[in-house]
Order: sequence, then C-alpha cells, then structure tokens
Amino acid sequence: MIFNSFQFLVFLPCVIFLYFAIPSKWRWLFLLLSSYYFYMSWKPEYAFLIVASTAIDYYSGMRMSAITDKKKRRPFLMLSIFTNLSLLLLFKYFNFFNESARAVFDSFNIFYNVPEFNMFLPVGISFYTFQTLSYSIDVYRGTTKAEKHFGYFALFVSYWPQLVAGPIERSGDLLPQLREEFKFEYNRVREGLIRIGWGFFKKVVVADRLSIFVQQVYQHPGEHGGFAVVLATWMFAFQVYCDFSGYSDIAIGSARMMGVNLTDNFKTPYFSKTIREFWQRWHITLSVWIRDYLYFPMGGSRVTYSRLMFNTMFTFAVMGLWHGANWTFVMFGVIHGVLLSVRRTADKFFPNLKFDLGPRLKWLTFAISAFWVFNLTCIPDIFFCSATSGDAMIQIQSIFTVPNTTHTLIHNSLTGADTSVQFILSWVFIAFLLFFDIRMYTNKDETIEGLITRQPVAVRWTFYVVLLIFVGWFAMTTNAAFIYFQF
Amino acid sequence: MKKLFRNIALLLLIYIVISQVAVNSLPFSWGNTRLNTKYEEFKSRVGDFNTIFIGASTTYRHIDPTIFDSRLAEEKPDWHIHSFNFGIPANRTPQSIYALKNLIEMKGNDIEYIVLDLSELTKMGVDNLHKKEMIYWYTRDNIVSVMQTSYDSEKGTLNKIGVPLLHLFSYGEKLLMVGMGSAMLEQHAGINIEELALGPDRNGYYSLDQEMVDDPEGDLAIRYDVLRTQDTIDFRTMQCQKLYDKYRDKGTGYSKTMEQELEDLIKLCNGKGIHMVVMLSQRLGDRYEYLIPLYNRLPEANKVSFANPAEYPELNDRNNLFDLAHLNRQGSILFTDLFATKFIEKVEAQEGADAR
Repeated sequence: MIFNSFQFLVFLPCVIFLYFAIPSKWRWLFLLLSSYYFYMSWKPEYAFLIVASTAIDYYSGMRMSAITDKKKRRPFLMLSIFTNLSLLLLFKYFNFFNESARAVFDSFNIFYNVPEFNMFLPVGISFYTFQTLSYSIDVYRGTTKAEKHFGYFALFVSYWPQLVAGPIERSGDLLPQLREEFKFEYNRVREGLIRIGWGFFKKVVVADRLSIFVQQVYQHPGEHGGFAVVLATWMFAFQVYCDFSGYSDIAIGSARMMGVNLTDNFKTPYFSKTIREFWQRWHITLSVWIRDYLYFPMGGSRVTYSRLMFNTMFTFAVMGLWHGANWTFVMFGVIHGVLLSVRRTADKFFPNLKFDLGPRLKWLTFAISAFWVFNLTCIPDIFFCSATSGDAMIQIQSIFTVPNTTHTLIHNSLTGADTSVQFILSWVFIAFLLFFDIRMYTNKDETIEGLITRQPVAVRWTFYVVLLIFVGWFAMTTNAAFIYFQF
Repeated sequence: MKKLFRNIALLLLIYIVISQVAVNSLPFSWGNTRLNTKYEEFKSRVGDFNTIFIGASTTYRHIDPTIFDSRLAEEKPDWHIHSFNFGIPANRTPQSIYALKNLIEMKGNDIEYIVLDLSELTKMGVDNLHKKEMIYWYTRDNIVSVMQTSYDSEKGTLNKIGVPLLHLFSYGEKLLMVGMGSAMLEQHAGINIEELALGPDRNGYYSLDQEMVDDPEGDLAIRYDVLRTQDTIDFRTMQCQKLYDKYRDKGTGYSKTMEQELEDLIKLCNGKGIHMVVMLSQRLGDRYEYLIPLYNRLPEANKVSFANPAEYPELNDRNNLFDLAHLNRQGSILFTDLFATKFIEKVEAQEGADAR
C-alpha cells in the first residue's frame, strides 16, 4: 500500500494501537506480519523475493559469524552479494542491459535475439537489497554481529515504514531498536504525528500539485520555450524533493511513534553551498551507503588525482543507475559526478578561489551560493525527469529558444481556469515549505518536530490547524504513486 | 494515551468547524463547474426565465430552449415561455431534485414551469465519487435520502450496504473538505465558470455537434465515429425495446423514498403555482426496472414518456443520433418539437385539473 492512500490511513492507527496493546515479547511477530501485509498488498508474489533474500542473508550472516578467519568467510559474503545483485539485475536491469546490447549489435548489423524478461518489478527492491547487502558486508568485516533470531532479522529486512523507499538503514542502527521495549510516550507519538503530517503536506499538497505543471512541459519536449522549461525544471526539483523527502518523513514519523529512530534522509538540501554538501543533505542514507561500500573500497579520495576523478565518476554513475534502469538516470549520476569533479579540480588547482562577499553580506553570499548550487542540481534533473536522453537534450535546447506564446507554461497556467489557482497555490506552498526549511536550516538542521514542539502552545496549535487544513483541503486526491517507488 | 486522543479529537473538531464555515460560504452549485456556470447565468438574468429543464446529459443535449420558446410563443403566446436548460452530464435524479429545491428557494416567484428528466435514482458512477463535480450535492438530508432509497431498492443486501457506504464516504469528504480547497478558491475567485456550458444562445443548451466543432480535439469526435454505426444503433434500440416491454407495466420495486420526494416536489410546486412535468427518456441497463414503476406512480398530468422506442422510431434514426445515448442537433430540434407538444398537453391538463 502507498502512504497516501485511504488504506494506509486505516493501517497506521491500527498498527500503532495494536503495537502498544500487545505484550512486548510478541511485538516483533506483529510488526513482521504487518510488514508483510503492507508489502503484499501490492502483489503477494513480491513476498517471494524478500523471503528469499532474507533467508540467504540470514544463512550467510550466521555462517560468517561462526568463522573467525576472514578469508573463509568470503564465500558466504559472495553468496549474499551474488544472490542480492542477481535478483536486482534480473528484475530491474536485465531488460535495460538487454536492450542496450541489442542496440549495439543492431548498429553492427549483428543478429541478436535474447528475449525480454517480462516480469513485474518488485516495489522497493533497490532499497531492501542495499539494506541486506550492507548487513552481510558489515558481518563479513566484523563491524556488526550476526543476528541470531531469524524473526528479528526478517523484521530488519522488511520493517514496513522504510521497506519500499528507505531510509536505507544499517543493521547496527535498526536491529537494537527493534529489540528494545518501548512504552507509549505522548511526546514521542506527537513528534511522529508532526513528522507524518509534514510528510503528507510535502507529498500530497506540494509534489502532486507541481507534477501537473512539470508534466505539461516534460511530456511534450520541444513544445515549450526557454523560461517554461526552466520554470518546469525548478518545479520538478521541488516536486522530487517533496515527493521523496515526504515519503521519508512519513516513514520516519511512523517508526518514531513506535519508538524507532530512523536516519534522517534529507536535511534541507537546496540550501547547500556546494555540490558536495548537496550530497551530504540529499538522500543521505544512499550517499553514505555508496561511500562506505563502493567509494571507500575503491580508495576514496586518498588516491592519485586521476584515480580520484575515476572513483568519483564511477560511483556517481552507479548511483545514477541505482535510481532506474534507463540511460537518463545514468546521465543524472554522471552529470553530478562531473559537477563534483569540476569542483574538486578547482579546489586542487585554485585553492584560494572562493565566493565570499564578506562578513557583512554573509547572508547574500549564502543566498547566491545556494541558488547557484540549486540551479546546478537542476541540470541533471532535466535527465531525471525526461523519458529519454534525447528528450532531455531537446529540453536543454529549448532553454535557449524564444518562447512560443501559445505553449508556454506560464501562459497556459494563468489562463486556464482549472490550473491558474493550482499554479499560484503551488508557489504559495513552496514558500510555506521554504519558510520552515529556512528555520530548520538556521537551527542547525533541526527537524520539523523539534522546531514545532519547542514553540509556545498557541503557535504549535496554529501550526497543527494550518497544516491539517493544507493537507485536508489541498491534497491532490488522485493517489499518485511516489516517484522513488520505481527505484 | 488519553491526552493524545483528546488532542486529536480537539484538532479534528476545530478542523471540521472551519471546514463547515468554509462550505457554508459557498453557493449550492460550487464544485460542479457546469452547474455553477448555469446557476450564475440564471441568477444574474433576473426575470429572464420562467421555465427550467433539469436532468442529465439527455436534457442538456436534447432540449433547445430557443426552439421550445418559439414553438410555445406560436401555440401559447399568453404563457410567455422563456426557458433555461439546467441539464448537467451525469446528473442523477436526487441531484436534480436538490438543485431544483435550491432554485425554487432562490427564484420561486419567477419560475412558472419545471421539467424534470428522470435518470438514475440512487447510484452514482463510482468514477464520479470523490469528484468535485459531485461533492456539492452531499448534505445531511440527501445522505439520509440515499440511505432510505437504497434500503427501498430490490437489490441485494450487499448493494443496500455498499451504495450508502460509498455515499457516506463522499459525504465525509465534503464534511472534511478533502481535496476541495482549490475548487473553493476557484469559486471565490469567480473562475469556476465554463462559458461553453451555456451554449451559443446562453440558455444552457449545447448540441453535441456544436461542441465537437468547438472542441475538435476532444473525445466527442471519437464517440461520434465509433459509436454511431447502424449495427450498434439497431442493437441498442432492440435492447431498449426489450427492457421497456419487460418493465412497462411493472408496479412494484419503485423507490418509496423517491416517490415521496417527487410527490413533495410536486406539492411544493403546486403551492407556488409552478407547473411541473416529469419526463422519462429512453434509458439502457437496469434503469427501466426502477424508473418505470416510479414513473407509473406519478399523476398522469405531471408526466410524459419518451421511453418506448417503438412509439418514437425517429429518436433512434441514425440521422438524428450523435452517439448511442444522445441525439444530434437535428435530433434535438425534432425532440424539442415533440416535447413541446406533450408539454402543452400536460400543462393544459394540470390547469384543467386546477380549474375543476
């Protein structure tokens, strides 16, 4: 089930209520069953893969924990990596590589006849595969102990709040919390509810509303002028941010109500002053995963300059591919890699080159830097949002063309009775979002629930009522799926 | 936990109160752009209209007030007929009655003649639930009525529970204004208007032919090409005839709640000196099973039927049809003329009854 559904609105309070109502020794079983119910409500067949992945990783973990010699552990690590990556490659990437191979062979007029693999793409496979992979690698490295209780391990893999779209949790963080006995605590539940409300606002009020305008432009490449494409790309940047961080907020809030603290996945990323900082604030758990299990083993930054450039480009290409089986996502990663490499090169050769307007204009330096980085991140977003790389190139060309007055986003949005209110509302809600994001940023990356709960009661309740009215009255009620589910 | 429940309840209460204040600031027609457009036009033209046609798309597309008025001007010049078409696609009878009650309340003194085209009684297409076009209709009285109507129906227990539940869900959505904020702002901003709905003569009639010309990229062209083949028309006519013959004399299975509502409406009209005529158009599916018994219960002077295909073969002539359920411009001219004749008969019968 998706979070923005009526089904979930019934599921959430039932699970929370029952969680605290049943004896603590059975809670793991209840959460496991509810997690499988949550996941199987899409397609019951999905459960097969997650059970297979869980069983193999549990077996690998147990075997590795029984062996002290690291070399002898390796086959079990390989078993885990091979199984998980095979599932991922088969279900998510087989057709992509197959089609790419066909295109190459066709260009040389070589007969190529490997059929397509027409199976469903299991929801959230990229997330839980990475989560279980990290467990196996950590057990292999000896940085975490293997979980002996199969039930708890299965719950770690399938824990419903973060199962389908993260945050990608480490076993060392999540497993101990799943074992802990939590009592009902008003403040914690309240914080969870605030976070969930904020997540719903981002998803159903902002992201789903913005998609109306983004689709107008991105489904018709070449039909819009420069400013419309720029505007739509800005809107897409907020759409994808609100969509994904909204999901994370609902996940974090739901877990928080049950006592579990999930990792913050987003920390006001559009206030980053550099691309590097952006990736420390955007999809944090994926960035950290890639850093720890791919970038560092490749040598990280303690290598030669040329190797550093390669490491950067490679990890970002993998990160792009993780997002989806399409060259547009590879391009998304590669462009981010290029942007980061350019910055690293500049830092190496021009270490004193810094944009700074002085201490009196610190805020302006920050505003210009953040706006600059925001626009830089919009370049790869053009690929992210386009159906094909060709479409993305057309959109980039369109940025430099004179707008066609009959097809501009602004024109259509402000003259169509159905959309003019939605267009204005979109920007009102973005302003509302940014108002709180600025407050969170300036308070050292405080969370929304932290920010609200320390306010006086009148301010707090005003926020609750306004947020509820925004979510209730202005939700786009079409149950649009979360963008990151496809990953 | 008590504190949590108490605070959630308090928050919901505040939310519901604010939502209700917001809803009550809106006219009855809000949300449904076509109805709202027609309502605003009707309201702004004080004294221009004394006759209303109300119903679903068959009303909207079939009765041209300009032709009706000129025909009546020839035959009954002292009636001074000036009519307005309030037909709304997918409108069900309960919605038409609700709109009528509001119109009578607002302009009861101006209205002299009302024509109500019967359509489905309890159901609302599942696709139309949760839509802003339908949400305006959900009031406490209407919800009670829909529950009673479902209970009256001869359908199974599941249907008797399921249909009211679906409506209750939509009623809840209206109480909580779920997703309706934009529609409310559009209403207040005065942009909840679709000028085309008024048609070229600004009297609420808009022929499908004309709309297809005005909007060549819409789906009407597809409907016109795909649905209007002779074979499908013959099959549709045969089906309609079979259903009509099966239920023409049926006297049971009508909704007592709807009968009561229609009787109350007729009484309300009589009390205000308004002549009311209930019309039954050709329908498909299981509609005749419930509509004909209800129609049969109504006073003779208040009803007119076009439901029998054999009696009106011209209404199933390919040249007069736009698609399987609607007439084209030529067909609507013909139908308006046929209806005008029947209308005069019925109103005279009512006046005769009043005189006696």
